[in-house]
Amino acid sequence: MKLAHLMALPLALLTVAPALAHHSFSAEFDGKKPVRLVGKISKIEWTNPHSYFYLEVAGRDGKTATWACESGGPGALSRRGWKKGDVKIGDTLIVDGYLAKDGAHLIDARRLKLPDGRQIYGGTPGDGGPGDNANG
Amino acid sequence: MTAPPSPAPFPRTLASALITLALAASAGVWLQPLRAATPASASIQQTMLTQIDPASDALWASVGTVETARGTVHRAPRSTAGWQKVSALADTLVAGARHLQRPGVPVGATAHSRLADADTPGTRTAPQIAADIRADPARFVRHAKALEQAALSARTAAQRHNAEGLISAGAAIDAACEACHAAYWYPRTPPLTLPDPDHFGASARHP
Repeated sequence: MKLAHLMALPLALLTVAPALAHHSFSAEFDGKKPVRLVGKISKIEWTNPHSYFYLEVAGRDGKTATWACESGGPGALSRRGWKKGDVKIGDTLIVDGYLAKDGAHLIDARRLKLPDGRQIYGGTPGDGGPGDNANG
Repeated sequence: MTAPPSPAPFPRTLASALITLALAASAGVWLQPLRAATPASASIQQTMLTQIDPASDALWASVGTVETARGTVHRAPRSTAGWQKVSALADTLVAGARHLQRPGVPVGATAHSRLADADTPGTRTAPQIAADIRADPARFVRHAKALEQAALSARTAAQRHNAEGLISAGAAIDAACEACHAAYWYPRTPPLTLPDPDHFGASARHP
């Protein structure tokens, strides 16, 4: 590897360094850009302060892209009625959410439709799921 | 018998240093150096940047579960030293939360400090936040105490090597953070209400 490449690596890694964990919804996502994803789950990360699941979504051009779906932490999802095993690797889901402002393949996941037709919610205030009292 | 290794040439040393620096940055520990003790003059903004945010990020990242087609991995400290590190992170959070409870802690380094997300319309400015705190200092202290209590729970879980307890305490830390941010920092707009599936589907992009 050439030195120039090695010197470029830190800059590249800086661009993927994790952002601060806390932002308002409007700082990170665009409420005017609703997105509906249909794809298979390839990875699930159950972590605080956000859980992420990753969907393999086939685009209109025939290419498959990986989308990250951000939701609440494990506790918040539990309060929305999620149960262990509700989502499984390989399941095909329909996910409604809002696109990240920076154009990344990232959405604030609000509502998931499971293969059996049930709907579960992502834990963001306003998603309308069980326990959501964001609007009184 | 092998010859002792010769000193690495400068370019390799430089490259190694840069990579190390980059890896540290990618882990979020370089841009925001973690401080165990809070300078008495630290503002809320400085306390967040140097203590509370990096400590909470590292604490949250220390435990969780990842599922893929290859199986399920439960992430948690695997040694006493690892748990002690998490306990130290909780101590940092406790120290930061207690600093926030001191009377008269300034919001930003100066009265004109730009806070994170200042470019997002509606995000509260440092003078606005300072005015809100002055109007009801006890309310702000209650938020800081909620963070302190959650961090103490995290420390207890770490001392007991209790991964589930640490996840619960991590959720409580997140709840304390969000409640305070919503009260003082985030735009005061009503949460975006999700339309029903039919209406949402009609307006949504379908990649």
